[in-house]
Amino acid sequence: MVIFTCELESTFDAVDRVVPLATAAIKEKFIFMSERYLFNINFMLREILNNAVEHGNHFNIDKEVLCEIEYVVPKLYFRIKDQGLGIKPEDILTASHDPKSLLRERNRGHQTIIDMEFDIEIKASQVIIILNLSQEERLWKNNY
Amino acid sequence: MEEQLLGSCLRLILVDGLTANNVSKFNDKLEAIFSSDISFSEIVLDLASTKNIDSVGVTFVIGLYKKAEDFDKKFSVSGASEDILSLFKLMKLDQFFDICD
Repeated sequence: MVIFTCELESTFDAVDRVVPLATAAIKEKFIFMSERYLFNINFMLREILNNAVEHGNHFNIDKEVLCEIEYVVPKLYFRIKDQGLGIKPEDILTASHDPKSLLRERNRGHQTIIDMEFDIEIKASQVIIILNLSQEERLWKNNY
Repeated sequence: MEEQLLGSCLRLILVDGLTANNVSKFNDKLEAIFSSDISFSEIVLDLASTKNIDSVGVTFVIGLYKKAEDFDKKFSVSGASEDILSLFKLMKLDQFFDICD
């Protein structure tokens, strides 16, 4: 089931406009989702879309970024595709617990997404982020 | 970003999201502050109105912390939501500066 889909221009302003729409669509569909999960999704989407706009499309106004969110029980799939040349996972992932790199100013976002328990798959110019909702749904059912 | 000087404490109040589309104007503002003759010994970044943040915004906070260190100013963050506080802890930034209510 597709929850949300859109094409956006290659600007940070477009990312700022689209992310609240995407999170609102998720919130409407999954009433059990906590504010913390929505915050994490908001952060993750901004990270991946910003990267697509900046490093994928290089802010080229003739290029767009495709964003699709699909739910396949029990997981949410966020597919972000740009029109760039693509990246390799080793280009962006760094050791998160290296004390010397805690104040680094690059490559923080992807590691943070992993720490937030999202799974990341990178296939050239498409990034797929996967979030398993089964635990969140179980917690909600136990509480209500 | 609004600024309030209370004694020797410069309070920077964010009214827009701490996100990539806003960070360049925040940096311009900081540049103006640090090159001005405003006298202060402490900087507080007030995030009470901040709901949205991304890694570019986090980089801005780290840059502000480093700049404060360079200029021998005390730096702290105040008013951050539980979610932002949790994010900063996840990134271990609470090891470097105070995060107050």
